[in-house]
Order: sequence, then C-alpha cells, then structure tokens
Amino acid sequence: MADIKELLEGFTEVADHPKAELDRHIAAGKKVIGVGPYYVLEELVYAAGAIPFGVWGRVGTASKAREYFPPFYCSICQMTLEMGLNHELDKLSGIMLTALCDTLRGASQNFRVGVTQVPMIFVTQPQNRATEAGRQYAIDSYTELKTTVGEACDTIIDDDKLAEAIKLYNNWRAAMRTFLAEAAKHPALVSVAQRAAVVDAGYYMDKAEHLKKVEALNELLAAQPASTDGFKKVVLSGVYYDIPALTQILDENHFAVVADDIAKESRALQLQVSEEGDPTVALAEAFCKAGNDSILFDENKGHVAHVADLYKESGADGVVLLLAKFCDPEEFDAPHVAKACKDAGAPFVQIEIDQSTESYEQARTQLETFADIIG
Amino acid sequence: MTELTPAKSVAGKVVAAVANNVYESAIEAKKNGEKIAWISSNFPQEIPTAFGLHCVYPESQAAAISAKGAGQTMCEHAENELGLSNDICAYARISQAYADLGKCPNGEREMPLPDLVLCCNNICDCMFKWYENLARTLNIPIVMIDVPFNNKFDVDDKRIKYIRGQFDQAIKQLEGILGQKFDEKKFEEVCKISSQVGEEWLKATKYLNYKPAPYKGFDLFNHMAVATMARGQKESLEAFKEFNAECEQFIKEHKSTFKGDEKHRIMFEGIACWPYLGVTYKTLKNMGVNVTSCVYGPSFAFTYKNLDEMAAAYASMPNATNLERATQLREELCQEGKVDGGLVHINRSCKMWSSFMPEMARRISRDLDIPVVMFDGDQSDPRNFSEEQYVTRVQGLVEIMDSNAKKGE
Repeated sequence: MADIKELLEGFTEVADHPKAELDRHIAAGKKVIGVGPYYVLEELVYAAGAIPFGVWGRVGTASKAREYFPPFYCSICQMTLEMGLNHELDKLSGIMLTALCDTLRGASQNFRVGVTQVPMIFVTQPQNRATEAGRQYAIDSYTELKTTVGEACDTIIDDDKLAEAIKLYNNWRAAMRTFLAEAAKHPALVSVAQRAAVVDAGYYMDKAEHLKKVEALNELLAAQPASTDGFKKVVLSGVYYDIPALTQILDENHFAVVADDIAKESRALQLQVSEEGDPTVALAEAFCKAGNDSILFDENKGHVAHVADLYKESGADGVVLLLAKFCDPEEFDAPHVAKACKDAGAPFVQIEIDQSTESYEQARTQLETFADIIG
Repeated sequence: MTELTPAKSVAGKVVAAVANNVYESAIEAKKNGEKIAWISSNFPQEIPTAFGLHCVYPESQAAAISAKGAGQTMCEHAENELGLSNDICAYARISQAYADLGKCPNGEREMPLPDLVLCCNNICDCMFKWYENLARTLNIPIVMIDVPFNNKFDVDDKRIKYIRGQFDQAIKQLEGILGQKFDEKKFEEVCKISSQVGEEWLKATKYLNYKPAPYKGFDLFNHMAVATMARGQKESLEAFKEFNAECEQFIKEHKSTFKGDEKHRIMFEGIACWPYLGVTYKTLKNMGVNVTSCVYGPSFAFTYKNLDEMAAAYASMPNATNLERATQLREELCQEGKVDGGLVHINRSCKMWSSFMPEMARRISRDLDIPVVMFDGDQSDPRNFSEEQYVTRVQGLVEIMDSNAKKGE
C-alpha cells in the first residue's frame, strides 16, 4: 500500500501535467469532454462512457484570447479561450460551459466561434432556483443536455448508467469532503500546495480511479494524530488558489487551511444528488439546492454569513479572501464578506489573485504580515 | 445632398419632462408615505406599474449623475468608503454610493431611497449582484426575474415557461410586500400602453433612417430615459407621438437637430460615455458624422400581444441573446440607418456588453464591408476614458469613410 507521501506525489504529478493525463485517456480509447467552471453536471459525461476533464484556464498570459476578450476579464475565461485557440484542447470531443456570470456568458460565445474544433456544449441553469419554475427549467435544460452530451460521445445516455454515475460522484464528493477535513487536521503531512494538487487531480483523472486513491489517502491520514501545532489556521475564501507562486507563499508562512469557501473545492463539492427516482431530475434538483456561493443568486446573500460561520466553526485564526481579479460575483460580495468576518472577530486579509499575475511579491508581503498578526 | 436647416426640438423637451416627472412624482410619493421601488431598466415594469408602485431607475440615475459630473466622486465613495472594487460596473458603484449617502454631491439627480428592489438580469448578471447588495445594505426585499443567457438564436419554450412562472412568483411576492391584490384589468391596460409606447419609441428611432436624418443620433441617449423609465405611462405615449410628428415635420422641411452637413452616418455601439457626452458628440459632429444606427431602439421597444410574447420580448434583450442574433440585429440597424462605418465603445463598466464585442465588430465590418473601430471608455467612470484616443480613433474612421466615399463616386 502506498504511503501518504507517495500518494500525494502521484496527485501532484497529475495536477502538474494535465496534458499527460489527457493523453492517457485518449490512448485508452476514451472520449474526453472538457468541463469549465462550475456546477457542470459531469455525471452525464461519465454515464456516456467518456471522461470529464476540468478546464479552468491555466497559469499564463493571454495573447490570442485578447482578440476576443478586452483585457478586463477574469483570467480563467481568458486562459481557457487561450488554450483553445492554441490548440491545447483539440483532443477534447467537446467542452461544457455554463453562463452563470457575465464573463462566462461571453466566454461561451467566444469559445464557440473561436475554437470551432472543440464543440461548445452550452449549460443553461436557473438563478431563481428556489421556485418551481426554476426547478422545472433546470430539469428541461438537463434533459436536453442528456441528448447533447450523448451525441458528443456517440452514444445514448441511459438512466441506469446515469444512476451509477451519480452514485460514483456522490461517493467521490463525500470522499473529497473527508479529504479536505483530514488535510485540515494534518497540515504537516499535507501542504497547501498538495491539498490543491489532490483537488486538481480530481478534475483530470477518471473519478473512479481518483476516488480509490483519495479513500486510501483519507484512511492513512485518519490513522495519524491530528495536529495544527506551529501552523496559522485560516479559512480560504475565493474561486481558486492553485497557483504555484501563491501556494508556495502560503506554505512558507506555515498556513493551514482548516476550512474553505473555494469555488473549485467546497462550493463545487457541496452537491449531493439523490439516488432515488429519475436521475436527470435528481441532478437538476441538486443544483437548485446549491447555495452559499457568490455566483448563485441569493436574496439572503448566504455566502457572506457562510464565510464567517466557517471561521467560527473551524476554530481558524483568520480568514484569507483570495479575490479573483475581474470576478464580478466575488468583487460584489467582498466588502460584505469582509464586514461579516470583522463582525465575527476574524482577522481578515484580502489578496488579489489572477492566473496572469507575474509577481506575487505584494501578496507575499500581505500574507507575511497577516501571519505575524494571527501568529 | 439636401441642405439641412438646423432646428431645435420642442418635442424633445416634452419627452425630457416625462422623464423628469418620474423622479418628481416618486419624491412626492415618498413624502406621502407611499412605497418606492428601485428597478432595473429591463425588469417587466408592467407588473409593478399595474400595482401602482412608484418605480425609479438606478441606471438612469447613475447616467444622469455622471453626465452632470459627479460620477467620479460617487465611484470613489463606493471604493473608499464601501470597499467596492473599481473593476465593477460604475453604475453599480454610483448606485450603491447613493444608497449609502442618500444624496448626490450637488443635487445632480436625487431620487427617494427604496422600500424594495426589483431586479431582472436580462441585460447582465452584474445586475443581481448589485441588487443583492442594495437589498442587504438597506435591509429591504428583492424581487428577481431571471432570464438566462441564450446560446441559441430563438427564445425556446422552456425559457418562456420559466419566465412566465417567475412573473406569477413576482406578482405573489409583490402582493405580500405591498399588501394589495394584483389587478388583472389594470395589468392588461398597462401592457397595452407599454406595447404602444414601445411601438412609438421604435418609430422614433427609425426616423434616423432618413437620409439626412431629422435629428442627431445622440438625442436618443437622452430620449431613451423615457423608454426606460415610463414605458407603461400614457404621458410617454403622447410625448413620443409628439416627437414623431416633429420628426416628420423636420423631414418634410429639411430640418435637423444635427448641426452641419451629415457627411457620414455611423453606428454607435454601446452605452454612451456619460461624463464625456459633449466631447464624444462634438468630435463626431465637427467631422460631419451623425449616428444613425444604435441598438437602443429595439432595446426598449417591447411589443407583444400576450404574456408568452411578453416573456419572449424580455428574453430577447440584445445582451441576453447569442452572438449571431446580436450581430444580425446590429447589421439590420446598420443597413436601415445607411451607415458608412461603425464606432464601438469597449465599455470598461460593462463586462456583458463588451465580452464578445471585438468579434461582433469584426463580423459587422466583414459582412457589411464597412470600417468599424473601437475605443476604450466607460459609461460613468471618467477615469477610464481618454479623449486623445477617442479623437484619434474617430479620425481614423473618418479617413477610411472619406476614402471609401471617393472610391464610390
């Protein structure tokens, strides 16, 4: 049985080399469908016998994408388009993109007309999710998607296969939530960079394979005594943080992520799909139940209180908001999140991040100062 | 070319008075203890109007505030005092600043604070974040109608069903908030007037198709306030009818509010740069360029015969439709407006509108074989506009249009 170190190295290898993982799927004769950020119903892809493959941009600078997007757009969307225009995604049989924010709306159109070699599969979802009309819209949309994704994978998705996929994904999400909890208790064993690598590998690997490895890792971690001694315990909030320059600073300053409100992690992993009844309806209802997220309409703005609650419940020493540059949903919520954290007595720091940022020296200074404050 | 006599529009003042009255009557209503709603520009106003609810429009207010020179002060308040990023829409920053201050720096455009907010995201998703913030800060209810962005050309049945369902939900919510029953008859009446106002507004915008045009295209930027804020009111219908009659008279008498020779006709794409309305207009005017194509016409012309058609109309807003439909709409307007070129505002404030604008501009230029140039600006934050760049881009556009005109002679 592999040890913790070996398992983490395996995840890091995949996270650092997504192209190699993609090639491996293709070599195994699998069709691969790209899935953008986020709340994309990957289960459909899996039920079609294909591999869902996360595409959340990458660290780098947009060049060709600037012919489509003006500069003031979120780097995830710019870099995803850049990857498409640079033919880095040509092996995908399609890419599923949602339109839950303004930049994603534009990204869907730019990708569709700019990267014609990778068919864009449009995922439309309701924002008024608590109403019957919203629930029905999600069901209607997902029913259409079942056919579209089936077509992209040269198959017809049957309900039994979809039910199996839902079960696998439920198990995987549960295992991932366990992993995040275990990683929080064992920062000396799982660095911030490694935590991100385990998550990222999940976006690239076959979920069944990833699940087995995550379960093995969870078991090994659970057997170790929990300790956060010598670490500064923080809640991370934001969309993503898997930028090597950033995770390096967090690790060098001995931060331990004891809870997160990260879109790529806990927000995406919150979905739990019913294993009873019509599986398409179950997927739609699971999306409608999602909450505590800046990208989802919420008359009570639950996301704001949620971050402060994470601070209180996790016993963290402070909250780090990693504000994704040009992300409207996050930028609108940021002052309210900051206030809720301050009201809860949480030391709080806000760091601007972007996949195209060349230097994180300012972030380093901010995080070093913050470490001193909460240390 | 027919020589034009410069004219001043009397009807334009009548239209402006209707817009002004929306604010005045809301201020008066607030004093009398009536409820006030802040409403997004393309929320189906037929519903609150049927309730007799006084609605005022933060987008129009922000435009007015910035046109009168207070945009930067309000944006800075939002950034420095409220902690909002300067990346977000300047209308949203100005509006949240106003919600915090309750007044403008120098009375630029006052309006009463709301008791509820009515939000529709058919023009952008930024809208619901902005209104969520207003509702939270002011601790008031929010009514939201979600119009998902459409990747297809046509509005399909599932969207219509979803939007119709939300109309019913909004009505129920408003009955609860306002403590009054929804009046179906009044609603039908408002729908009828709104549709008629939409038709008259569209007719008004179509007079720009006459060559030479009876008015300057920039006038639309002002008149659209009524199409935005008073679509359900009889006064708007009368005002637009008067304006249209004046347009016909001007055409017959070879008059226009555009001063000088209409040497070139162009499409202006995007929201106006309100803080620099004078500069952006005069630069064009001084080079003999009139704007005769602008998407503001169909943007506020909601015409329908039943509730399904009303749902489809609100789902067909230019910013809610796919690239192909958005491009086709502009191209038809360009052809009708007989334009020689296009000027596209890459608006720092509007992520939705600007997000596929470069591709749309390329397509319009290619399909219609006209030059299209882009400039960087902002609808309300004066810090994001460079007069030098604007003038240079317009000069470049005019040079190409001049050259094309010579080739065509």
